[in-house]
Amino acid sequence: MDRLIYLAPDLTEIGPCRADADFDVGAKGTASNDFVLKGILPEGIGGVYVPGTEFGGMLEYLQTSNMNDVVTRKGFTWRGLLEQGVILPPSGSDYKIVSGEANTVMAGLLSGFMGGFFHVSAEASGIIIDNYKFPLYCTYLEGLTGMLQEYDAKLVITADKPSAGSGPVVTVQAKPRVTIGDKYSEEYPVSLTYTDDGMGINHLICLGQGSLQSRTRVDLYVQEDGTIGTQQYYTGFSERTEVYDYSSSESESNLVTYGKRRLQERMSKKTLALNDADVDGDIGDLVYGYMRGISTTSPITRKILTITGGIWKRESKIEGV
Amino acid sequence: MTNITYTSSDGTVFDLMADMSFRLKKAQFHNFEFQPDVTALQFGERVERWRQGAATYAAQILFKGPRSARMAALDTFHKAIERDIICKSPGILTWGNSYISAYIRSSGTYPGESNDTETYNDVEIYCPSPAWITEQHIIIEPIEQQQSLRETDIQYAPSYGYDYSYMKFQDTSKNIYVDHFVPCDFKAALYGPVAAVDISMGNLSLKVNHAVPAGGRMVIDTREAVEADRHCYLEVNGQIRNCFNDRDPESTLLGKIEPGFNRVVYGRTTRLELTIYRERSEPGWTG
Repeated sequence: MDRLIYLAPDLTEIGPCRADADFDVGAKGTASNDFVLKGILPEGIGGVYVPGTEFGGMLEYLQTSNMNDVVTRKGFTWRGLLEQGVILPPSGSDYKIVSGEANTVMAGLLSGFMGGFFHVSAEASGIIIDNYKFPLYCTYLEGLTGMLQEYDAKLVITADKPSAGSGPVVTVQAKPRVTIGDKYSEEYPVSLTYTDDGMGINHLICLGQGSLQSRTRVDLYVQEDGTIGTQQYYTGFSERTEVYDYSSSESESNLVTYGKRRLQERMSKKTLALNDADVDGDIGDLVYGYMRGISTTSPITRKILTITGGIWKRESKIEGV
Repeated sequence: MTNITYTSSDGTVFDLMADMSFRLKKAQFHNFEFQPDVTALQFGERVERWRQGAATYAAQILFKGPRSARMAALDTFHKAIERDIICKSPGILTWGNSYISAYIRSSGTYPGESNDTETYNDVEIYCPSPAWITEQHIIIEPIEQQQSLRETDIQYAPSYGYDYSYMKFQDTSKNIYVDHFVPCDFKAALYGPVAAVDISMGNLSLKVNHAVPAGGRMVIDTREAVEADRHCYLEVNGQIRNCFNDRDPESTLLGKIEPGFNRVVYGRTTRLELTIYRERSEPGWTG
C-alpha cells in the first residue's frame, strides 16, 4: 500500500495522512535524515510511515502560528534515529571490535539501543564480518554503514506492519549491494550529467603524529589508472599537491588508510550523475551509467520523497551529484 | 426541470428552482477545465499529468416579490452563506442527483430595471474540490442461515430404485455493477454480527481483524476528504471506534473500486451496504 500513514505515539496506525511531507534519507553528511510534515494536522499523532519503505519516523518538533491553521512538524527518520546513539568501546578496550554474520553482529549492537526499538532481520545475510574495528565514538549509522561498506554490503531499513492489530516494526538488515544499470545511459530518456573534473589533486602529503622533522609523513600519489600508490606518476606541470593533517592518527598504517580516503575525495575524476530520477535500488546500491563512451559505477547515497498536494515525487541521488 | 439546491453548513436548504420568488436565472455548472503539467521537449511537450484546480461558477439569482419579502429572503440567504465562510464549513450545491461542496464567496445585488419587485443577486460559487459526485447505492442482503445450505432432491430414473440427495451451497458472492468510467471511492458498511471483516470486491481485499457485534457495523470509507481516523471504524450504538490499526497488512483497504462488474464475496451472513462515489467534472447530464 503506497500510502503515508499516521501513527499514534504508541505506533498504532491512525489512518492515511494527506499532509505535505518531505523525507530525506541517506548516508551521513549527504542527507539530513529527517522529515517534515506540513498542513492542518490532526491531534494525537506521533509519527508517520510509508509501509514497506524506510520513509517514516516519529515527530519531535512542532511549529505553529496564530495567523493560520498550518502546522509544521518534524522528526528523525528511522535512519536518522540511528544517528542519535554512539557505539562505545567496551570497558577495558580501546575499540569496539566485532566478528560474525552481519545481521547477528547488528542484532548484538542494537539490542541495547533505544530499548531494542530496531528489529534486526534473522535472515542470514551471507556476509561474515571479521574483526571489524569501529571508529572511536562513531554513531550507530556511521558505524554500521561503514562496517557493511567494507564488505561490499548495504544497510537496508524498512518499516512494515507484521499483522493486523500491530503497528509497524522497523527492521534493519545487511544485504550485499547490487549494481543497477543498463537503462541509465544516453540512449534512454533519463537526464544524465557527465563531468570530467581535472581540477583535483594527485599528490597528498599525509602528516601524522610527531612534530617538525620527526613527524610521521606519508606521500600518496594518484596513478595513471586512477588507483592510489606511493610512486609518483604526475610530475612537473601536472603535479597538484595538498597537505592532509591527521595528527591524531595512531600509526602509519592508520594514516595511510585515512589518507587514501582523503585523496579519493580530492583527486581528479570523471563522474556521471543521474539527475532527479528515482532509481529502483537501496541506499548503498551501485548505479551503472554510460554516456559519451564513459561508464561509471556510483553508489546511491540519498533518497528523497516529497509529497505535495497529493503528488508523490521520489528522487535518488548518486554520489558525485 | 432539474432540481438545484444550496444547503448551507447549518442544514438550511435553499431551493433555487422552487418558485418565482427565489430562482436561479443563470449559472455555468457544466464548465470545466484541465491543465496539463508538462515537460518541455525539443519539439513540443510531454504531458506528465493533468491537474484540475478549484471550480468557480458565476451564477445569478433573482429575488422577486414585495420589497419586504425580498429583503427577508436576501437576509436569510446571505447570513447562511456568510456563516459557511466564517466557519470554514462548505455548503452543498446539488444539481439533479449530483452534488459538490461549495462556498458562495462573492455577492453583488442590484434592483431589476422594470419596477420595485425584483432584486438580482450575482454570486460566485467556489468549490475547493472540482468533483461533482453522484452516489450509487448497492445493498447486499444476507443469505438466511437456514437457507445457506439448501437440500435439493434429485429424481433419478426409476431403475435406480432409490433417490440421491445432496447439499448445495448457496453462492456467497454477488456481482455488482459500478456504473462509471473510472475507479471510484466508496463506503462499505458491513453489519454485525461477524467475527471479522473479510470482503473481496473485484480486485480489492477488505480485511479488518475485528469483530462486529450484533447491532453494530464496520465502515470502510476510502474518500480523501474523510478525517484520518474515520477511514475504518466500528460503529455501535452511535459510538465510533477507529479500527484502522486492525486492518490486515495485505488488504487493499483504501483502494478504489473498478468500474463495471465487480464480484463481491463475503460470508453473506449479514447485510453489506455500499455507496459508490462517482466523480465527474460536471453534474451528470442524464442523472
